[in-house]
Amino acid sequence: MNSTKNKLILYSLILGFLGFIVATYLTILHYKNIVPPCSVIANCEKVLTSQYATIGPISVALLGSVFYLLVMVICTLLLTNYKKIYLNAFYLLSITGFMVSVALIVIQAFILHAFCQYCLTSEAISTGILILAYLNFRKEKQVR
Amino acid sequence: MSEEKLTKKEKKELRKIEWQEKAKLEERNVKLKKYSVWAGGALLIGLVILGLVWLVNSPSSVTSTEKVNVAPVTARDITNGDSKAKLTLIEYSDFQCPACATYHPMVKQLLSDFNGKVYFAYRMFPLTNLHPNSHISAQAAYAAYKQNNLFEMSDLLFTNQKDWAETSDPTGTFMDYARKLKLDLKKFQTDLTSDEVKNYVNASEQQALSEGINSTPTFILNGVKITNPGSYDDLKKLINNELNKK
Repeated sequence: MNSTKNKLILYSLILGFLGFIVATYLTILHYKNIVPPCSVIANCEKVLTSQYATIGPISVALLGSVFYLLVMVICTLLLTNYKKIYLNAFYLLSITGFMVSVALIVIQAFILHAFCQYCLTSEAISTGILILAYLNFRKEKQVR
Repeated sequence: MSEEKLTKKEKKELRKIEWQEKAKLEERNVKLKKYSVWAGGALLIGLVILGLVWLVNSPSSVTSTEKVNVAPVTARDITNGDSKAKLTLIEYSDFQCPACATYHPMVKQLLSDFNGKVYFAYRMFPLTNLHPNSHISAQAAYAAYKQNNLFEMSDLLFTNQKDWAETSDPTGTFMDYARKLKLDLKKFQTDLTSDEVKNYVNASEQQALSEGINSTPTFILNGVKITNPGSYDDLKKLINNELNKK
């Protein structure tokens, strides 16, 4: 793997780490039953206490933590023990993460009419990961 | 045995062994590096989780110097407890705010556990731009207050918040609560939309905004804004610490 691609994977790893911090913070808040204060400027609590914040007993934030953890594991595997299968898994993960993010933004904008700053940060991070994955894919194609 | 005395074949063999050992060492170093990366990563993740748990659990403190310029408690305020108590706790709250609903049982418990030691003032701060029913719910609470049932009505409003928060007209639900509390229904209905009640809620909202309050619930303990406690135990600890200071 050349250095540019290495860098792209490294940046994805860093983004995955940041996403993990945000998602895990929300997961802890959820399972400790702590609701963020209702702020004059943001409406996070409406999003975090809505029916869309959980899928059955599982918090969406926990799924986010697992997603970012997987991104970190795959990126580390690519950096330490590059295999094509890991790269494909990375592409698949980044597309899945982005699609879920789009769905969550649609729910916030059109159903809840409220946005949560933590959720938006996570959604921006997963979009960043998809962009990096796409750039990596393009580089791969050029090499072939 | 020095290398000069070795035959050519032996020298070749020796170099091969040396090269093999070097390759093995390099391989071991690469493996060690990989393991270190994984171990370091796992450690970092563990530390992040522990750090976040600590952050969420960290007890709030009133030692901060975040003195806020809020109006002192007056006869106009909705209060509970002895005005001569050592501690005065002011809460700015919105009936449609889920976080306020979470803190409501804690405050209730606190007033019961520290009866006579804490003078509590409830200030309405409806976040009308976020919560469409916050104003009318505050009016319902104030209408109940006019019949000396503010805290009973607050209980019903917070406990059943999900039932009325998103409805287009929660008035019927509030009437049901008034019925449950055996209030004078005619008076409650008149008060609910009276100018006096509306003006009180409007004035409370404007007061909170002018005092720089920007979220609910906001707690002011003896003039100091406190970080919202993570649990009732934290709140209790905080109150005890303040009581012991005196």
